[in-house]
Amino acid sequence: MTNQTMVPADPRPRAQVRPGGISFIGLVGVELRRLWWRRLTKVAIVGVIAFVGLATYGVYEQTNPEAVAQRIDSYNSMVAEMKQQQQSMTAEDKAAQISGCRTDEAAQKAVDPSADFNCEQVFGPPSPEDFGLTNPATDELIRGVAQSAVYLLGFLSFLLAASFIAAEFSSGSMGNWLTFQPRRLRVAASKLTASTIAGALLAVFGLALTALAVSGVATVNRPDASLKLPEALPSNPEPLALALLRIVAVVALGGLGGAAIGLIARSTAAVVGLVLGYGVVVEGFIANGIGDGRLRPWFVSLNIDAFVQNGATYYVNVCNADGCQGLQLKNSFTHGWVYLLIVAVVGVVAALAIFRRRDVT
Amino acid sequence: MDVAVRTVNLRKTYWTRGGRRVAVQGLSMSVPLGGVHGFLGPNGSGKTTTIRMLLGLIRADSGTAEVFGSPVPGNLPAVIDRVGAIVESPKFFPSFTGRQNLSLLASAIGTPNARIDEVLEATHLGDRGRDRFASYSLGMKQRLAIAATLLKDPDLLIFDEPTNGLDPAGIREVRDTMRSLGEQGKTVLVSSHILAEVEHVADTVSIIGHGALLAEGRVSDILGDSGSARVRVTVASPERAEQVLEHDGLTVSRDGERLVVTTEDPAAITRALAGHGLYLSELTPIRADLESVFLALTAEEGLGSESDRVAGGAKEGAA
Repeated sequence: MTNQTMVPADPRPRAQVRPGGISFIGLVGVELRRLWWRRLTKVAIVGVIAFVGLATYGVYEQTNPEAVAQRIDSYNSMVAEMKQQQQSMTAEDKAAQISGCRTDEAAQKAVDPSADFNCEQVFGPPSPEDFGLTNPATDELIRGVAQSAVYLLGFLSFLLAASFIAAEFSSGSMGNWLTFQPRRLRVAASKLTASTIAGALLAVFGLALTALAVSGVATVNRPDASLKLPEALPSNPEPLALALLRIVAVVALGGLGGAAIGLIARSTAAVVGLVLGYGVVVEGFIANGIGDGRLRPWFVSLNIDAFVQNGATYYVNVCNADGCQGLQLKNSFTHGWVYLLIVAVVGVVAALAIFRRRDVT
Repeated sequence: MDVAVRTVNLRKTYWTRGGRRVAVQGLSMSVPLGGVHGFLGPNGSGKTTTIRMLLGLIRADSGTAEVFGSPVPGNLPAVIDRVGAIVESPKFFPSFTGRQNLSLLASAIGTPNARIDEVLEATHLGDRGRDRFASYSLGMKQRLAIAATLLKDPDLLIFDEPTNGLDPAGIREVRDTMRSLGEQGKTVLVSSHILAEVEHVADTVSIIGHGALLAEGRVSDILGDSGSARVRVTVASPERAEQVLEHDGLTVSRDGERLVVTTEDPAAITRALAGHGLYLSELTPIRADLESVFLALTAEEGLGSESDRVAGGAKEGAA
């Protein structure tokens, strides 16, 4: 190696050599490029494709003509069986069942005045809808699969972001990076932003794939008009697009959270340990075990559900002298988004403050 | 004197499980503009900590540091594009190729991709640029790190122990690179615990021990200040020669069958011995080197210990 070839001078004018760095958006673009190059990103994409494939197969199994025919048989058998049972019941038995139903309804009304257990109809025939005997509404099918994908997409987004940041510390590249971009807050903000965008893109990809695949299956499995099945009632009155947008927001928030915790913990293993620990200990034992489940609105998962599903129900166990009873409570959409917003702001502020102050070795 | 780097009373303490450990204690040093400046000291003497403080990677407890006259880390963004640095071992994303790693860094400062090709070629990595960093040898990793520093075409290059783990050819390459950069007018701050290695390329040095400055200045001045010249003498009858020289007031010590005489005037030795019929078969000046200077300095400061021993051998110059 000769000296002449070893150190080439940059032939460009000095002003071009040192343009004062790049814009924040440019920096986010660089971070996104690195994210795209990572193997874990490809693994996450494959994971999403696999999940959508499995979920679509589930939809196919649920809506194909053979499955519908089986459900019609089950429905008819159930109606016949119920008729037989009712004929063998005494009037006292029937009255006792209705009375029990009303007691449960009254308890529920104490926390939810709109509760209606439809006790008068307890001896009526089950509706075809109870057996899934409806013409499948494509939007409802997509909504169902999309909502079941929230936690997977959120976790993938979280893990991608956390390892994206942690890898910089474990490889030592963060120190290298800071000798090119020394403004720590700017650096951290660009990484948080890139992780959020990546999460959103992952969600959009997964949901678009879901919509496409489920629509295809619903079209293929459209029941024969001669069956005269009732149209499915929407489980949620809000438009599908809004529901999907909320899922995108939650998954993006997962990316943001992963990046923030990655900046604080600096190790993928530590982040995964934290998340698993939280899931098992806090969500599993504390949230359900303390206060008969009344604390659940103050933990993450129920607020994600409330945000994504436009409100979420949860159950608490209420005991009195007559015994214990499960009551259904509601966590509102507003509670969900305010909670998630506060958690996100606190996490981001903590991550920025810690990254700004802490030594990078 | 124009300085590229200056620190004043820089201090850094780490809190470890074993308690408080002072890594840098009141370090004041200056690195002149242009040329190669050796930053010398044994392992654990605070070199890397000081470099990290200069680059804003860790915060000093107290004291100040300046790079090109700008206080750091406060004003680091103003001068960072004039500084290229390798701290400890080369650190890149192992699963990315060399080119990808450089591309990210180049994008961060708005450097065009053409510059990546230039620095890869210049560091002889042109044909390995598309290989994963994890597959590189240590020498190649070191060269990639140098390539990364050259992306900015910096005025100050900081190399922290750049030859660690390299084979002799690799060491020579890095040494040539540093020399070449220094000759181009750039300032090269190179830290090392191998004093002999830096002695070959450095114009000036700062020697530290236990986080404090022991000596600083031009290499020639430091070697010249290292005390009286010593001369190795071989003679047929060393016992008699020792008596004669001591009688003439010279300080003499034995080195096996040879004598080591401290004098500013080697001719006085030949005169004294010839006057007693003793004739020399060897008269070799023992040239001071940085290692001996360092050992002397640490002994003076009471810092000398086995762990402070630095690598490198004593050198002798021919008479």
